[in-house]
Amino acid sequence: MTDMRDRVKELEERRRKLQPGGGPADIEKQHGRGKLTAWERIEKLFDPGTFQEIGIWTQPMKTGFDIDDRELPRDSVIVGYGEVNGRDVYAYAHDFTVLAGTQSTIQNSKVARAMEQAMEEGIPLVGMVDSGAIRIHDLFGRSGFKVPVRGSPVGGGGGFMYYPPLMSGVVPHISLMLGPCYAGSAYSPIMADFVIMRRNIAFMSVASPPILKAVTFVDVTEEEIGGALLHSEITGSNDLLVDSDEEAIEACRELLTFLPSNWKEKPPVVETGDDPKRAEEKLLDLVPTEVTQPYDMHEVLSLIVDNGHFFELQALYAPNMIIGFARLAGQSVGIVANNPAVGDGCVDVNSSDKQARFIRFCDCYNIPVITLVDTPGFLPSLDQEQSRDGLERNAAKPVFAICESTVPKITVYIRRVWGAGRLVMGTERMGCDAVYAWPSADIRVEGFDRAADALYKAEIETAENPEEMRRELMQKVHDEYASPYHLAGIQGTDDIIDPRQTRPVLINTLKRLSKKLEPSRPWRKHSLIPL
Amino acid sequence: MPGTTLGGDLDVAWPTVQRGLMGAEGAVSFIYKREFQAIEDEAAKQEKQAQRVAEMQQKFESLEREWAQEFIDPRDTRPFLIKAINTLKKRHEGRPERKHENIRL
Repeated sequence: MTDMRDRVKELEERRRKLQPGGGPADIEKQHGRGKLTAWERIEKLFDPGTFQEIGIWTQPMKTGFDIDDRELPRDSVIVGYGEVNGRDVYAYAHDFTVLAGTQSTIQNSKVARAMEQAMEEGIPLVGMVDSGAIRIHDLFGRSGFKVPVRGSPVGGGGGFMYYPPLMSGVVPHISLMLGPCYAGSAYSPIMADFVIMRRNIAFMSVASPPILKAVTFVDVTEEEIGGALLHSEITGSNDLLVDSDEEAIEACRELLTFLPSNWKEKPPVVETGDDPKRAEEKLLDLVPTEVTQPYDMHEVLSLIVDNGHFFELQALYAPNMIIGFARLAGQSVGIVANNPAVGDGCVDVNSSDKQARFIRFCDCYNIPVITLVDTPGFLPSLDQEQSRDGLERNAAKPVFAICESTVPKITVYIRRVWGAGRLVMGTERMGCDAVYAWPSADIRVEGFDRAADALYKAEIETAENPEEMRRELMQKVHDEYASPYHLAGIQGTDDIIDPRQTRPVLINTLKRLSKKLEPSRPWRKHSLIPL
Repeated sequence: MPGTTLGGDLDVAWPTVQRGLMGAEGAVSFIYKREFQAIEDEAAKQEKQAQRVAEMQQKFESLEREWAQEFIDPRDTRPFLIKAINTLKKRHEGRPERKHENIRL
């Protein structure tokens, strides 16, 4: 009869054996590829000594094939919780050293249960994906044909796809793609709020290159159909492009500091030590009043936010629109801004997507949205109108997002506010709580050539020199209607502000809005935003 | 279309159902790859492959019967669906409270 001390010794011994996951050779291979092991990633993510693993003892289901005889610790995934910068977070990390992290029933069951717990307990979830696709043995063995239990997390094979939509908007969900991820395995992590991918290491696509080749007879590389760069620049599926596991995890830790733990909380306030009353002389020189001159909106942002620190997201996708997180007097805010340095700051199909989803995310998690506007609106483009993406439908997304949101919203008209760009960036009638304008603001609801043609048709036609008359009248219309004073006259803006005071004005307005009460919205199952 | 695994209410199949990522041949070629590679003689290899495929197909059939909640005659599809919809009409399902979701746009 063994006594307690012997049993504890046995427990420690067993745990020590399971701890590394794969054997030393597998671990060396992982390191050889420039990747950390699952355990090393977990250790980097969490504050030291705070991680509590769940399910280190789990075994894969019996498949009826030869792999049943192999040691497969944890069924290839580490799941648990711990603290990240002092706040609890759940995480899962596929273990590539155990059978290439291939997906299986128990592995998915563990992940699904973690998702369910994160959702019920109001705690964010971080997924570290590194999985060589589905484990064929498991899929075709006994385990692949289990009698299904509806959406069940434990023991259910599909739960890890069922829970992301349920937890969406309840708790933040971040996916770190640190390895391959195909087909079914990809559906789950991509439904997260944010995706961070490693260049040259992370691949995400519906079909893997061998399958594509078998069906279409075209040779493609992993990079071409699912590389991190593709997802950062073209598909927009990736939010942050990084070059190492460490960089991905550091970025994830920082991203979490801008967010609350769940939808009922406000984001934490952080002491940044930056004077809330800081006026910036340089803001007088940055923005040319000549509307055809470009400048980089990033520079304006860096002068306004705390310590010039801006956490940009989707920097490579639709760079004509800037989104990201920053702090104002320590408070977390979401920034949305046109960038006249790229594509003249036009809005288009891709920027609409990018902008709308970010606003909806901020709305889910009580993060005020600050919008800086300088856009000529949509560039008329046959391509975009006729594209399968549908310009009109996509342009509606940010409008929908702004109107639907109840989070505090402040808009600042920096310079051009032309045409439909106005609606897409937010006006007071769409629920923006405060709208300010710089003296350089230039508001054009309609092009002044068309306005002049419509309003002064007779004068132009009967003039000696119609072209010149037209130009004069266009200028007249511009001078009367484009100025921010006219806009303020019709209550289109709360105040026209000295650019140097932008930061103090924003901080003061945020302070007032911090007590904003939740307005009642009609009850419905959910909205039907155009997708 | 995984049915109940994504929250659906019923998994019902026609007798022609064939679930899975790839057919029996594909699965066998992957799972028993090493076994086949070890056989030198071509004829013996083919025989073994055929045996494994037959085993796999039989396994599929018996497991398929365990999985589906109901197999129906295709001609009964319409009455079955109508009955199921009527039965499930009063089904109530909650969702976690939140302002709204954050679906990929």
